[in-house]
Amino acid sequence: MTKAEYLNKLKSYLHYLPESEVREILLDYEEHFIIGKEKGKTEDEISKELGDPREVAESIRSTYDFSTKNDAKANTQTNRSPNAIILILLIVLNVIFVFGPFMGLVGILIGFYAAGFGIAIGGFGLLLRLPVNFVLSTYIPGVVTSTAFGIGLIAMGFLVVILGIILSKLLYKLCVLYIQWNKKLVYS
Amino acid sequence: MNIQFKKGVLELCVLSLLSRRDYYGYELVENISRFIEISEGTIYPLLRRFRSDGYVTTYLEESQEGPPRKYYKLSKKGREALDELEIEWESFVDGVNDLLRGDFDDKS
Repeated sequence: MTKAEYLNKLKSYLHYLPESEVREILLDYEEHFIIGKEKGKTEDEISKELGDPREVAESIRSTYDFSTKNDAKANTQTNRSPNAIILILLIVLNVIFVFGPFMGLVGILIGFYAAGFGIAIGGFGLLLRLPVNFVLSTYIPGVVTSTAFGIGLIAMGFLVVILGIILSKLLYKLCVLYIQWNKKLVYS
Repeated sequence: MNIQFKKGVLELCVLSLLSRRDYYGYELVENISRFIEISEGTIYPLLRRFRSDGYVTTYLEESQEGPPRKYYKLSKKGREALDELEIEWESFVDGVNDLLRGDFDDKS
């Protein structure tokens, strides 16, 4: 087999790879041929030593699968055509039953953050003994009381915020799972 | 020989060569096929995987004759992988040798 034949054959087995990747791979083999010829070998000899292009392509494939498993998966998924009926059903279902509760949950989370920050800011105010004109502001707490309550309130505020963050992450994960599940349904 | 097995051995050989100095692809192939019989074309995919796994880095260097050579250099991560593989290999070979020589207490 000549160099051109060998490279063409190899290329034909690698059609599933992106073009830039194939070019890079072929470049390595081209270099191998050129150096081999410099050392006095014929193209036919070099082809034989390299081994069956199919075998070489197979070992390229196995390493490629290994390194970009997720990409390959994603590709096969988008290559399939979506199922129109399921898609429409899902959209209707999501708009009616999922979107509302979802926005509700987002609202609750926003509430968590607002409450947390509010409590913490109140704590700061108390800690610094800022003058506050509440209805009951005739009572001004002493230094010890305001410091203790201030720190307590700040801590509580941050706790609520942290709780909000944890719940946000949970919601995010749930959304990702839900979207993946939808995708799977549509593309199956 | 079993292909998976050979693959593992080939990995070890390539890493071991690269631990001594930087090689370009052809040299690696040449040196390894002097000692063991391989389809030379399968070394390049291995090198590509090493690179994407961060075991080696590559650089181009001009040569007096012909095109610039793509050299492969072992990284710290690659050296660690080599150390691990070498230990595995040695205990494997020891085990097989013990079995072959009948050098063990027969458990029956």
